[in-house]
Amino acid sequence: MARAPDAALFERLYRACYEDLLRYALRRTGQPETAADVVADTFLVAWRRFDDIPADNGRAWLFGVARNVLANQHRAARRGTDLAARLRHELGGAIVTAPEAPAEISAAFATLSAADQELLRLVGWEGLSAEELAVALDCSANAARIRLHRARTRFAEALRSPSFTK
Amino acid sequence: MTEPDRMIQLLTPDLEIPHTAADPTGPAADDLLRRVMSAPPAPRRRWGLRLAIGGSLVTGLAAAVVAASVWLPESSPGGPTPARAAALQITTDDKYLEIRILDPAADPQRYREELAAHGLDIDLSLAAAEPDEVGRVVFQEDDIRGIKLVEAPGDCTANGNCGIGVRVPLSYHGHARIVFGRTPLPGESVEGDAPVLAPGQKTQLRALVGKRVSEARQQLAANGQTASYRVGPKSLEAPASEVPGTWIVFDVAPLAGNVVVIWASEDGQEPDYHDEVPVPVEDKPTR
Repeated sequence: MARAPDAALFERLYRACYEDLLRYALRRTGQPETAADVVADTFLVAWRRFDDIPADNGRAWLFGVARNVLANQHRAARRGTDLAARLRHELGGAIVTAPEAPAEISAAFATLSAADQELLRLVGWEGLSAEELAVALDCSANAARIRLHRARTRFAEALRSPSFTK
Repeated sequence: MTEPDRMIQLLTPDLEIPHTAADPTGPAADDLLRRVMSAPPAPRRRWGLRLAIGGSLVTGLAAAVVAASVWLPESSPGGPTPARAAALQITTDDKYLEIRILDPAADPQRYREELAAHGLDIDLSLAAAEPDEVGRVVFQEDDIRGIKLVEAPGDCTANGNCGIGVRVPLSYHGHARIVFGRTPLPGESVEGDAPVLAPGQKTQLRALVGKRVSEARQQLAANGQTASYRVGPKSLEAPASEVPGTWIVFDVAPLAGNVVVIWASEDGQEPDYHDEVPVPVEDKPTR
């Protein structure tokens, strides 16, 4: 960390993105406890790397961090200081339920690679644009568009494949 | 939004979140915000440093930088030695303290004692290194900026490491870890045990630069090596699935356990490492 983060700026970003990140973590983990940890770890990274956050794209950047935190959840050791204790407690009553979607869509989606699924979810569920996706994936906008295009194509192909069409 | 996106939207799980947890100004959010903002600063790893021929400042340290978590801690070349000659050369002026290694075979505990005597929280140790890296800074990480490398221009290693010591501001109150290179112990594994490589192995690794990731993968697999990828302007670790085979390798570094770090980008160009902006001397450390 090069400088102490500007507390007011950080708080503004935190308040503006907190709920989106919480929803993302809940949707992706399906488990309130894990989601609380993901949100806490994400904002901790943001606090520590405040200088790295693009001023005009903080939300997308946070999704990128959350995505990495999620990917590393399985090896994350429990922290000595329990950042997420209160959130975990308050989130205890949260309920995540699978939507009633046509089975062939779920089945086709399930055939995609984890990377493709994540791309498509970030756009479809979280509403990220291709430009925001680039920030979240830490790649160029062009690369993000290409990856998104390929993922959509693979999804469409999976939907058309004989095992999913009636 | 395209048709596939709309279909994927149908898969969005439904959420019911208690208001006390979901409200960005509610008790859970307030509590987390307070805890996050009072968290201590993280150690700042110099991810941008990489092996690069003719590179700037501290290039050549990359292998050690990325390998640090794997093999660096506490590699003392021998036990405590009875000799009490100074292990470090510590010189000071009114602003800085300059540290160089005098005795690369001393017990790291002695470095710690000498540094602690100067009121510094610096963990200094040694790690096996190739002959031309012995006595040089091979790794540095700190939680507050301000420590600078002492370079000996004209006395750089082949891969551009000119760091022979560090300059620490007298006002420095962060924690830092600095590792100097030492001669490998007799019998200490060289082959395949990073970062000490035989010249042939080094050449083989360097030959991967400029190749497609797919080719590099093939070659590493043929050698029984595993790739670990670093991508983007932060040189962050990425899973193989996110590094297309068509990307171009622009740098490599060995790690322990037959792992090879591959830096790759779509066009084979090295991204700008934003983390490496020069730090002004007067930049007061803050917490």
